[in-house]
Amino acid sequence: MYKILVADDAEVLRMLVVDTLEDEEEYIIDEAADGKEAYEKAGAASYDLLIIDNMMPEYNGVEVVSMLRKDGRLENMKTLMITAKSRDKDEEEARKAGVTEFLSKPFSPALLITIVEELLDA
Amino acid sequence: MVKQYQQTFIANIKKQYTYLEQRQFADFDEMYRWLHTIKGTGATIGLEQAAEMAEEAMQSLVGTEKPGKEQRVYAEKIMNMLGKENEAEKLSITYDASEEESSFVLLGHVSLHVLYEVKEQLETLGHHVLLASDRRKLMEKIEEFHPEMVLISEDLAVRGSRTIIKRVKDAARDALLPVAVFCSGGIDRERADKLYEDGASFVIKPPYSTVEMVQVIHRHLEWQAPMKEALTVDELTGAYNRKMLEMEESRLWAEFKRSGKPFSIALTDLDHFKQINDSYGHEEGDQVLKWFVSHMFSRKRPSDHLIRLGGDEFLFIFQQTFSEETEKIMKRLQHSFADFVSERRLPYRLGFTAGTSTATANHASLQVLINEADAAMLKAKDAGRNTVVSYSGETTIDLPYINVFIIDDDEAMASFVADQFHQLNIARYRIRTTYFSSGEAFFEEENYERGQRYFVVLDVTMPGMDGFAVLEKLRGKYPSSNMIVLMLTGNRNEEDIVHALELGADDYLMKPFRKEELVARAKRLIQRVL
Repeated sequence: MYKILVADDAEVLRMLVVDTLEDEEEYIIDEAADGKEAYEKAGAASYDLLIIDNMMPEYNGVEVVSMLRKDGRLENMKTLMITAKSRDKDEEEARKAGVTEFLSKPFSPALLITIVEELLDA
Repeated sequence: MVKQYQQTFIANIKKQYTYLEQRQFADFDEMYRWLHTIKGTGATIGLEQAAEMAEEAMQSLVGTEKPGKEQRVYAEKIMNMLGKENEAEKLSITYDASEEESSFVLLGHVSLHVLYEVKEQLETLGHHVLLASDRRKLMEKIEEFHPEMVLISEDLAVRGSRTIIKRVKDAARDALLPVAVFCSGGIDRERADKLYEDGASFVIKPPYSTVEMVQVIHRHLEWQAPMKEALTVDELTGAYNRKMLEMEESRLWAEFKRSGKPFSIALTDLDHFKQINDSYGHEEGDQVLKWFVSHMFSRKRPSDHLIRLGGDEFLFIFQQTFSEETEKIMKRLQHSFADFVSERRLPYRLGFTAGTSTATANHASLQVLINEADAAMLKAKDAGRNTVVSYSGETTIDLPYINVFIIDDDEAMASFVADQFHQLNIARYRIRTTYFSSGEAFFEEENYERGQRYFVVLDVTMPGMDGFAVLEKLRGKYPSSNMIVLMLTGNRNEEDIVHALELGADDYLMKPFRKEELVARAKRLIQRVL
């Protein structure tokens, strides 16, 4: 079983991600509704993967990831960032901050699971 | 436009290739730069396969000091591919895309040598082949291209104790999509059985030959064609039936997205068909339908589709065709059909009226396009039949509305719900959604009009007036026969649900819910007011 934290302020999208992953029955899912909550939860418990939307109130996704990296929390945790549109330059910065992989909206459930699996298998 | 870029690009790449050849591919940097250009620009201007191969070649360069034989083979393959692109362009001026063309994704960790040979041979048999190198690319390509068949290697198909075969079919939104799995190592009975149980159409076991792989795939695609046809062809006329429309819709949109060229449709109705049927009998009526279809088949381009929607109503689909062109084609068909009819010296007048419409990025579904073409056709009939009218924004569609009111303080939820309604296809109706952030906001103005149809999606938990209060007022104020109320509840409190039903709610949905649930409920409930 893998532990995954899903952080997205958009309730509907978070619902979609959680529903999709729960169908697979091999993941334990936690949710966070903004950047601050994501940072606190990821700091308090250990997760195998953080799925995080970049555009969020309080802290945005990149900020959360780079703070977690400073705290040394990324050593055993992969990060998948959900972006509105992938722009190379932004991606480069986010990668430097510690983001492992990207997924741009809109995406299908089949693609989401595939990427999550690849990240956790590696 | 893109083709022009491609030609210029290919010419430049060729020049550089000749130069590299003269230098015997000896310089690492030169080779790398060349591949880098193909990778970067190629993918942007629609030469994806070459770009991917360049990427592979670049990876093969990593760790070597000098390009070797391997890279030279890559370079040749890339040049071959680009050469074919150029020829395809020349051909397409004279021929339209073959209707029989089928495509599938080949994917593999098998030795590249085998893969490319299989791909090449399938292409000479008229199939279009795409490659994907990992699961992510595979899923992305399936979603984009809707292949007729997928072939995957066992190491990618199997993940731990499960396989991804079902997911492949989900991504293609086609439960019948044939998926073949080939195994590169030895495989025991048990593993092969598991693949079959999970939905593999067949498992190719080693030792295999290129011939075997190519023939197995080719035959499968060949067998599929008549079966698909039997399902999708109208018996009387030989035109496609509605079933084909369902099967083709996602492919049409995907092709539009990929090529950037829209498809157009034309809705036609035979003029005075009912009188012909009444005065000369059904047999004559059937004969007229057959004439119409056989004449259109002899005149249409191979890539155009003709579908009998029912009775004397037909739908044409023109792929990669703009609006003006569509109108011209239809007028031409009208003239040639008139000639055909006059040669037969029939005792009655026979012709058809057509309305056309062209896809844009703003169209939510084929049904919306058909509604537009329908409106254009009505206009054409008013103008005196045997004419063609194209839909324009000014053409009014007189289809009745289903008014959807979404009353919810959570705007994100409301827009999610509205999206699902916009994607509903209700034949002969249009959906119009209006959002209210509270019950008070809803009752501020009079939104109700007699004779209209309403569908209210109402959240239970709201500040101020809650959902129950709103529901009570709605049911007290307006007749319930043409107003559906669907409640959204946040908790699993049975009392709430009972209370809502007592107050006259038609149904409820518990949050969080899946969009499929919402769509299924909405479709079923809407029937009540139609």
